[in-house]
Amino acid sequence: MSRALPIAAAVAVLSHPSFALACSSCMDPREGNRTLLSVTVFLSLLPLALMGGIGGWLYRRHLAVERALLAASPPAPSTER
Amino acid sequence: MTTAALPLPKPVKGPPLVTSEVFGMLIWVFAEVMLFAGFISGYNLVGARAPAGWWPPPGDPALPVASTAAASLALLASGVAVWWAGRPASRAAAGRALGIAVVLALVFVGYQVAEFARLLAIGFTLVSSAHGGFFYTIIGAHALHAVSAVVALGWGWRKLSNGALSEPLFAALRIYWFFVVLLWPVLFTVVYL
Repeated sequence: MSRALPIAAAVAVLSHPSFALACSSCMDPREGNRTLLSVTVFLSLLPLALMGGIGGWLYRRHLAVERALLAASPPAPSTER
Repeated sequence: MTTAALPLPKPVKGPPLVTSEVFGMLIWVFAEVMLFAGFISGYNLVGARAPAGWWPPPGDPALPVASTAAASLALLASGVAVWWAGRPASRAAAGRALGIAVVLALVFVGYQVAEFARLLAIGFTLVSSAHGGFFYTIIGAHALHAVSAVVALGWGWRKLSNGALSEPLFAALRIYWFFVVLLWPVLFTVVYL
């Protein structure tokens, strides 16, 4: 947390449009350009959300299968003689 | 000096995490979601950049919202029927539910064919305006998916009746139909409302 805050602040400052001059429509109040920005965000985040969803579902399945196998497997042989 | 090693436990082979049929279908649906996301984004962008009061263009006919909403109910009901067919039940019950789903899906597809014919007859075509181009591209692409999914459901229904439909294949069919059903309210809201 103590490191994340300054890093987030630095990223926020450096990515500000007036500094980066990289986003011609970010601060434009016209509706067409605001829609362009929201569409860009939507199309950028959607595949990540889909991949995250499929990955999360697979991970939950993995945990469920592992739990089922552990419950069904016989106890490990003891090392004591 | 030798050390006696304990025998390693045999690796236990469990059930697969996900079947090939389901995983393949998930990847396919992923690609399809991105395709329709691109369509919807383009539609919204062109609409937002049009002059005020010019989207949809004033000369274009009003889309039939009420009758399409009624047909949408048939599609949503078919989704419920497919969900019902996937529940643990007897083969006969699952077959009945799948049959109902196919009939309801045919009602929706039949309505769309009639709607397209009516709109084309009054001059609203793919090239009559940008709105027409988007309408037939987006709704037409969904209709093509619905037709292919109905064919797949019918095929699955036949196999289920013969007792030859495997569970992974049935699960993949269900995922595809849920995609077609759940996508429709989004397209209806964006294009018709």
